Amino acid sequence: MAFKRTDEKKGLSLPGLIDIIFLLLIFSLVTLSISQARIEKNVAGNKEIEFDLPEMRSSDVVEADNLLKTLMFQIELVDNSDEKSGKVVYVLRPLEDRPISIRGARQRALQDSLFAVFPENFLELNDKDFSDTPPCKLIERSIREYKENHFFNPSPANRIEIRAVKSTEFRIFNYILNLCSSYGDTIPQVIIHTLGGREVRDGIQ
Amino acid sequence: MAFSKVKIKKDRLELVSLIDMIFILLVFFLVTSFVMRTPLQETILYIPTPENVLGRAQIVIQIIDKNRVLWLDDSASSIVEQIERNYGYLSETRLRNRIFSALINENILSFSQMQERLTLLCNRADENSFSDYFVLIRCPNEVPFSMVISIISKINDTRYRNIRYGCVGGTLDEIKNSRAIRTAVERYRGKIRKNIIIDF
Amino acid sequence: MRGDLYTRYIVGVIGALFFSVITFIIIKQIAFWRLPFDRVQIPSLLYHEKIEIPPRPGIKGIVISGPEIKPAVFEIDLSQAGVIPLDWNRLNSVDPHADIKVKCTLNKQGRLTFSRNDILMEGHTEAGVMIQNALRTWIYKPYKMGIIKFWFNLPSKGKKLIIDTGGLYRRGELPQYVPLYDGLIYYIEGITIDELQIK
Repeated sequence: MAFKRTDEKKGLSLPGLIDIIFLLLIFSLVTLSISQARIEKNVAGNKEIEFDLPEMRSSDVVEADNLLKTLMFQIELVDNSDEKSGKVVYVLRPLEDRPISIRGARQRALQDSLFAVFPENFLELNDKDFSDTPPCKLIERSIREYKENHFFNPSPANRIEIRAVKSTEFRIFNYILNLCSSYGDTIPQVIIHTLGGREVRDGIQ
Repeated sequence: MAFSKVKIKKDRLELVSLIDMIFILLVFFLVTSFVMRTPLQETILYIPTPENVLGRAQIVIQIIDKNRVLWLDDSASSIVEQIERNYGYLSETRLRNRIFSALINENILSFSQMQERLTLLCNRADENSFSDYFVLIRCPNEVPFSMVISIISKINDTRYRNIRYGCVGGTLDEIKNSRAIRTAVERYRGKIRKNIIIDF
Repeated sequence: MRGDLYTRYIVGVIGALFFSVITFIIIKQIAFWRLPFDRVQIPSLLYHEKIEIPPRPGIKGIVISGPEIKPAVFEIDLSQAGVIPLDWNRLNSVDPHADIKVKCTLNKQGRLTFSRNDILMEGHTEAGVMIQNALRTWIYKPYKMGIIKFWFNLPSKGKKLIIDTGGLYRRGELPQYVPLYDGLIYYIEGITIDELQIK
């Protein structure tokens, strides 16, 4: 008797291969998109100082422009590595003839000595003494001069910007608000710089 | 002649592969439809400057410190009205103190409780596009302004953007030492309401 | 054979993918259609300039909006159990010449009370009893008290029922700031507006 033995050839398992390819594709897509976003943040951030702005988690946010368009008060820590250090205010003015970035305006403010440090005990001062401190006088003078040269009529386009670290006490912020309100409807609002992001919820809203 | 039986190999459904594909597609859609947080960008927020007039609000949030707030809304009106009815014979100062104590007892919230109330407020605002709310936030000097921003961040997140806000400096003591806390019936925008008035 | 199987497998995979993508697109499109209009708009470069000034907070004092005060309506409370209407057509068929006067006192509970001396129904007893049985069941909302008079003058060519509410007064428990209006102060089925006068 003759018996034929048939050996089944073991070939390449194509379905398994396709599975692995898909898995690798998904994995690489997901990790690539996240890492791409991180790279873009570091490249386009243009911020040497890691500015600890207050967070604004909202699904509808307006992006800040890197160029300075109006008078801005930038309030930072005197020592970035020490959260308990005092606050310093920089007066950033836009240029008339060309655009300037926030970083560039800060450099100019340093050169022109348009900055001042809040005294350590500024929270304990009464309103009169607080408004007599050098940073408050600088803020008051800057708003007055800017208003005289740029804000002639009441308009929603008239605004002052504030870019402050999140530990900034409300007193400083309130002082700027009250100064702006002293001009009535001429400066009806201020712009606060925050750290926000668009949230995508569930894919279906 | 010998005929060998012809075995017709039936095509089998590759179940294992099909299940694999379903799982892959499931993972794919799960990943794409999950909550994705893009990296935070610098954004701007508009805050109105105060004016020297009588302020009107549906809700007043008086920040006491980093952990507590005083929440005053239309439910406070019934508390004030009841005290006025029961203790109307008291002097203005004593009546104000009694009203203030009652408001403090009923309406002091922790930060998380306030967040819950803000969520309810946002849900209510989302149900009706014609409703209009104004939230006044009063903040003491020593509290970081980021606390105000976090409150605004919550109420800014509505479908019809029908919750407006404003923030001013102010302390709980200013309310406590106000000239009067009283109710008054007012007709405003065609509706009669029993409002609370705090005179500074 | 094997080749056919692989081909069919690949076709199946492609078909599944295609179906999934189409489903995904359809779901996204439906979600897009459900979005409110302002979320659909793409903000223009001039977005900042178009922002209107929001309302500004006042610092002179605070007015916290209280609950809305809805006006009160003085009327028969039909939600109460046992309130029955007076059947006008039946009254006319029972006694078309009925001339009955009833002077009722509206008490704190909102019920009409009257004694034998308060009813003038000589010769019209059956109609009078009908009217009394109905009036006794009426319950009014507790916003007014006082005297209310009913004059059933069926043979009249003009007004067949005159209701005098001049003796009613607003109750002290209702705060003055609550507006008070009159609603349905009679519960009579079959009567027309021409037959009725309220003064």
